[in-house]
Amino acid sequence: MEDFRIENLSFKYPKSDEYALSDIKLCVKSGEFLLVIGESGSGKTTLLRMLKNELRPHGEMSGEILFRGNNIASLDERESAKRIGFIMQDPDSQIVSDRVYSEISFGLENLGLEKEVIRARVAEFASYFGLNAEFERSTVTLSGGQKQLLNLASVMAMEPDVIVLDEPTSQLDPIAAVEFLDALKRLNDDFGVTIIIAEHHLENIYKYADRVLCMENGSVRLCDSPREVVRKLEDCKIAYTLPVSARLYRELNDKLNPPLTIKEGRELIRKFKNDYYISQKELKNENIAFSCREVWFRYEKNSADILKGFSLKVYRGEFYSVVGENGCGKSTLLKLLNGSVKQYRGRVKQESAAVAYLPQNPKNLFVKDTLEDDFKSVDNSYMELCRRFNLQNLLNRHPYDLSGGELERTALCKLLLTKPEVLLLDEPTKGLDAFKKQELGKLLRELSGEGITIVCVTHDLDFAAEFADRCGLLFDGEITSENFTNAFFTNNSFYTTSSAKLSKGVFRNAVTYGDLLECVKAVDRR
Amino acid sequence: MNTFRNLHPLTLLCYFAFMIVFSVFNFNPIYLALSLFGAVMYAAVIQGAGVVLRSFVGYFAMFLLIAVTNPLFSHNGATALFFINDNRVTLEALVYGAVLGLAIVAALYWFRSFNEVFDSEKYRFIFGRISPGLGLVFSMILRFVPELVRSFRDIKSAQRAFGSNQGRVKRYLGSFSAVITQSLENGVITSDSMNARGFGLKHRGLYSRFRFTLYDGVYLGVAAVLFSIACIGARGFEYYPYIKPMEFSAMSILSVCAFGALSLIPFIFEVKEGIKWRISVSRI
Amino acid sequence: MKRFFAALLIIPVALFCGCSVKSADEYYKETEAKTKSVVTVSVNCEKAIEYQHDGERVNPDILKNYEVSFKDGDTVFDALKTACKNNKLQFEYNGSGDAVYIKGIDYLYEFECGDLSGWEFSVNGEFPSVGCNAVKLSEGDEIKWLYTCDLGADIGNKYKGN
Repeated sequence: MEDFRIENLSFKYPKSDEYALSDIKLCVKSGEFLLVIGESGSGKTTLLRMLKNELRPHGEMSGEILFRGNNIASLDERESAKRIGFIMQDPDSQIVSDRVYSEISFGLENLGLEKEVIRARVAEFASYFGLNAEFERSTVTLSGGQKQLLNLASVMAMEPDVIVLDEPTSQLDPIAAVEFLDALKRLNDDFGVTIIIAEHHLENIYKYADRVLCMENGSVRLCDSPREVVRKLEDCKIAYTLPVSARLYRELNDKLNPPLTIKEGRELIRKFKNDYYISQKELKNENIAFSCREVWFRYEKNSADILKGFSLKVYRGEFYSVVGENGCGKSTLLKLLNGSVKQYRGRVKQESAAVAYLPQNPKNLFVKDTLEDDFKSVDNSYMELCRRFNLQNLLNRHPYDLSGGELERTALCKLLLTKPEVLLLDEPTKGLDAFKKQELGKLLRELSGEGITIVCVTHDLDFAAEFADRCGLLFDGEITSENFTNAFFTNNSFYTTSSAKLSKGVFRNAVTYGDLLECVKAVDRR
Repeated sequence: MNTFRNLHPLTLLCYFAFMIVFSVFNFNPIYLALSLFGAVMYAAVIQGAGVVLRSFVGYFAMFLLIAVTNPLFSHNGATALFFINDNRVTLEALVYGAVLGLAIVAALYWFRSFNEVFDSEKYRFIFGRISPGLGLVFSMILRFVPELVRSFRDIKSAQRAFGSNQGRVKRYLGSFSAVITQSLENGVITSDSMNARGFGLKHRGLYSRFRFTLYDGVYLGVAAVLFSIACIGARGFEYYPYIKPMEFSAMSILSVCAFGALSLIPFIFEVKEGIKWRISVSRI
Repeated sequence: MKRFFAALLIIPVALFCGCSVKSADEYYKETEAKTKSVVTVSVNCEKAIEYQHDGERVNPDILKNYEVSFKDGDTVFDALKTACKNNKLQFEYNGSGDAVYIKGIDYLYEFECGDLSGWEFSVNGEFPSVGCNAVKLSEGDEIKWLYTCDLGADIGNKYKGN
């Protein structure tokens, strides 16, 4: 049976000349796990929103979308709400009510179900998603991962046939993202729910997909099984987002079946029994930018310690990444370095007062209606920096209208106007796709080359591996291991990048895909 | 083990309404003393005796203030204690003030327990009974306000870096307007999420974890009977110009007893459940 | 918070300083110096008795033509005060200066007999349209305090009752 059949769908936003979607043909079978990939702005979100009557954007539309054989627009409101679930990026704003149980019951109440039915369903789905312990909690106090699971639970409680998800894990930390995707896979396996999901971080989800839809500039570039996509996809931007094993396979032109997981990828790499290694780039620098010694911190007198004897030395012009899971105190650490909070024991020694802090939500830096006003309120000589960051065309825009990558760039620009010597970044890659991450990373490297010290807390290990000079693992309030980046990720067995996992025992110090490629090529040449 | 609070919200609401209304409108010190006693005993059980003992100081000060202030403004009464500018300050007015103070303190103690017992879920339920939309709005506000506060704090701390060339007030205003814009932005997502889940369909249902059980029915029935007896037999005191205590008849004594029982219900309820629990544990 | 409590203490103390406080015995033992000039004060609650039917009050004349001597500049209010003090009658007033208002005499208060009830006074049969502390006494004045249940209309106050 087919859930969706899309025939020659084209769509254009009002006041826009370009088609956001052009001539899309697609058929989604019942119970299928369809992964939609593509760069930001390739039309993924538009396509997904077309599938839900309540969220369909306004504009010029041609072609047809059939849901189970009938035109979707003719679907009854109640049916549409019930049978097609939709989950968006932002875990917070999708939540409507104050308590976990009332959030799960929200959709069921809307459907006007009997009280006893609602009661039974809420109990069932809270148990299924492991939200029992959270049942009476206030939704505000949940972690991002729990919030997104709650959103999934409250959609699932309505027992939909299809769930459409628009980058649901982009705001989550990697562990929470894996948990979420596993739950999704379980739903697909257990109930045969059709899943249509757009994602840009593919390492963990790619293997789950039945089919992968590659989008480019509003049209379908390729739609096939994951392995076929690895084989057939020409070299293009999307190809860089594939899982590491798959990318390596493409590079090697092997005759084997394309690998999707690390396990399969190791088959591929095992034949290189070679001790080629990446030499560790070591930074010789004696000028300390700031140091922390035995710092203890807690928020309230009777609360638990967040930092426990935390010590850290960061050198001038260094790019230092602090990695660690949610709740290990990363954000608190930045607040401390920023001076927003103060330790109760220990010493923080700042060599320079010029510290700039990029919050997790860069929007928080902007308070005016246009970027230009915002920049002016800091410093009038902003044009030079704008040109460098390529922001001239955005100056009249409202900061909130910018895309994720643009916002990150503008935020950095605004911070640089204060002429900082130390830049503190809180999860700068949150919500960015692979290309935007690359751009940001290069920009940060450039800045650190100019002598700006960068401290970045992140759980994006690939980003840290690629761009940082040194990394430290923050666990239980202190740095438990610290080293130059390559050594750091090579020494870690679990808390490390996919490339490092893949090359473990074969190529020493190869922690990024670039390193991996360098090794493979060097061996080939010999 | 807080069993009284586990009664149905409507039952609880009715009970507290009974007690608070009766305490505020009945200027009979016998009833008020019973009401205060019941309220304090219950508060002591649910909040701990220490907390309630500590609260006495504040409430007693309030009682004294009301008792002393009343004769300064009301000069009725036959027993003049002294004169201020030709106006007499009377014993009757002092007594009346004390009774008024007692009434207010008793009502406040009931409110104290009410606050403890009536959490947001119960409010949501009551509002939801009035209209499902109202219940939802209440719940949304409870989520929205802490989000707003958090977002304001985040923005303020993010703005620290640019603080030097702006006034404090200006910075606050800027942060505030940013909070509003952001919450409007997020509101768009919330409304999408609501629409996607069928908000606005006709015949909205109501989910609650409360069940009106036989227990509630019995409890409410007993309370209503006691309340009726208390009301019917209630006799008041007269304070002006002479203090005239209530008449004691079979009916009025019955009324006092009924009211005494009514005010002790929550306390007895708790203690009884506590004993039951201990017995059931000791049997294991 | 501390300031608030301080204000709470200081304000009543300050108010008390402007007051004369006397014990009940002291107050009733005081006697005014006799002068030659006298006025008569009557206090009558006939209308209240009619209104209340079977109330405890039976005698409409709380005071009848009671003679009070007065000094130059004394007012109708002063005369009532002296009359009440000499007869140990309870009364309550509000306000100060010209704007003194009598709320109750002998435990009979305004509003006890309906929304339009209260004490009014006449001097020689005329109802002045000002407060009782604004009307100066002159020799032989006949002051009547009458309880009205209808804003004066039932006791012959033409100015107010219509």
